[in-house]
Amino acid sequence: MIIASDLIRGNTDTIILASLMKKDNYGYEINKNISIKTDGKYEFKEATLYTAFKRLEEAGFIRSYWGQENVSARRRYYSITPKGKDEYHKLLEDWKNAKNMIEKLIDTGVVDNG
Amino acid sequence: MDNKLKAYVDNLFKNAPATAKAYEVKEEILQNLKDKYNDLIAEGKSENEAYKIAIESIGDLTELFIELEKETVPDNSKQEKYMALKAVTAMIFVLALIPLVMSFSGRAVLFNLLAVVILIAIGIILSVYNSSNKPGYKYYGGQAYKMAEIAKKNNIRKSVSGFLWLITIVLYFIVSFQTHAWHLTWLMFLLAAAIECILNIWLGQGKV
Repeated sequence: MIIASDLIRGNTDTIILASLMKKDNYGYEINKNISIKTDGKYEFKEATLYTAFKRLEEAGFIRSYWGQENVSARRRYYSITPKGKDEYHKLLEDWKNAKNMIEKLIDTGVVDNG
Repeated sequence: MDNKLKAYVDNLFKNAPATAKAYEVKEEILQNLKDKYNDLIAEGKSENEAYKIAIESIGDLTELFIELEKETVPDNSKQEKYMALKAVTAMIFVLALIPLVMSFSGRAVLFNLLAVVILIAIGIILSVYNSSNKPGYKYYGGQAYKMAEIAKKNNIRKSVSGFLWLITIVLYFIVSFQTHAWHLTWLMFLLAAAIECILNIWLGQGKV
């Protein structure tokens, strides 16, 4: 699982953009959805998540605003911009290409169970 | 337990850059930890377990602080514009001395005094505008940003109000000595008060 978490970390931006494609969301909920999708095997550290938010917001791929809920907990919502959607599609293509290449490189087709 | 989480996060952010954005990020992370803690308790974890898992989910903040540090670098182009405008403002104040000196020579006193008042007015307006654009840290949306906006408006309102009364007094004496209509000229103060009321409405009362 160490390799898996490295691979996931390398795709932090893609994963965050992907999670905002359907609807705006706030930090905790985004991370919780990631945890659910990976059966609790992975979630971002707060530090990783907020470093990525800041970077993506500066690049103009996402924007954020305070939610208007009438509860004591005020939440900042993140929303993907049209520029961010373009970036997501580009990153998705990059990932597909990389995945194909890695598969070809590491799958030798040799079945050897000793 | 909320307080224990808050104390922990406060301590982690002790060395964070002192910016509005850093404060907001801290508040967001703390809120996430509280949510996480409550979810874990609902799942049946013990208080200590939940606390431990929550603080372990923070991770290494070094990179985040570096990212947050970036915004405290002042914008150089803005700095240059600020300095240039400051020089122009100073020049206008110096220029205002010329008609002032000429008015002492006794010729066209009214015209020269008006020129002084107008030049000073332009100078004050420029310096107020410039100080409201003083380069500093970038602020983003959110409460801290709104507070800064209100404080800025309040400052402009105070400067404009001060200037309004100054010009009223100057004009009052100039017009009064020229026209000798002392029984009418005092009405200018009523007019100034009315203008101030309108300004207050326009710029907001500036409650901070």
